[in-house]
Amino acid sequence: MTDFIFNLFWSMVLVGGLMTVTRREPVHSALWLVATLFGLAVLYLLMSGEFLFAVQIFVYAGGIMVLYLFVIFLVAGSKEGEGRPEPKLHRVLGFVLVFLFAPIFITLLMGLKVASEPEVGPPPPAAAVAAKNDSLPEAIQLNPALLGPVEASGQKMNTLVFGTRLFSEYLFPFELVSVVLLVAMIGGIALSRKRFTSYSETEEAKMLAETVYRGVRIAPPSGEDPEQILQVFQQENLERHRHPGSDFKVFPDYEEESNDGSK
Amino acid sequence: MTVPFGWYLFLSALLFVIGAVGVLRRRNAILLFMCIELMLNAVNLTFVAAARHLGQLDGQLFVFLVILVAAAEVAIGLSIIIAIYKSHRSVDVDDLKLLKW
Repeated sequence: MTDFIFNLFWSMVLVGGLMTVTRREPVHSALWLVATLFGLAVLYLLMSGEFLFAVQIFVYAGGIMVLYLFVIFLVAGSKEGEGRPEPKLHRVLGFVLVFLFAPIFITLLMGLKVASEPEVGPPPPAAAVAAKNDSLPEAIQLNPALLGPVEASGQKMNTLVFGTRLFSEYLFPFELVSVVLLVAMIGGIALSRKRFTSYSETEEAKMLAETVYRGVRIAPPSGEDPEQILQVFQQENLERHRHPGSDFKVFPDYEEESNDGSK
Repeated sequence: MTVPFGWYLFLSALLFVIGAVGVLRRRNAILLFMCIELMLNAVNLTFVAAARHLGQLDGQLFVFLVILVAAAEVAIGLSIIIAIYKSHRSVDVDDLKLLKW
């Protein structure tokens, strides 16, 4: 049964990873990534990492992937640009990478038989854990009662051992990560709140104004009567209709710079 | 019940390469982040497998910290992508050639 679950989720992770990279639609990629991460979570569970299983699902499926999907939906047209050829260098680098890793794969495959010998070490001796606890400063010492069940059940009480060690040996990295998360939170808010003056938007507006001005071919309306401007515009437009040879457009394509000389 | 250690390493290496090739070949910034995520998870898998193999819990503790840092990275990265999209109307990494906008 365990073997079946292992095979199932092992392949699920592999297929999910491949699909994530190859799908064209970002949403599909994201959903395949969810499948991959879930498969990994189950593999953690098989390796007696119950706590990591839960964390993986909460943080990745619950937090990170929701964030991804939000951004994908927010960023319109995030499908990759068609028509543009992929840089050849990237394809070559991809192949080089695969061949670079090939020896590692072969070694791993050859080592599979050796490594598959069941060789789970003994659980950390309780005396050592207790000694470690005693050596800690008084303020962060753990209740010795908490350490009791660890020696009894070894690997089985994964979460208990995990917590015990996280808040004793790994206290400093843990606190450091909390600071990193705080910085990330502040940074995320600051970045998404800031109003950026859009380079492309102002450029576009300028170009649009210019083409309208060029297309209509009237002086910029500074202090002139709007009625008069409209009359001139209509007059010119009529004339163009009467003489279909001229190439009048209100919004000429940006490439067509030629309609300056036609008047 | 004997779960082979080597198969985990093998899967991890495969997943890492898939992620790396994805980073090279995809051009959508969001997808690049997903591929980086794949690579991070490949490393996490190695950590957990090694922790299991050696009968130590340190690998799992490292994975816990890696997951938290990955969450922070994604939050910042995606808000940068949003900011870039606001100014460039594109998240294609080929379009993003300037550091200033």
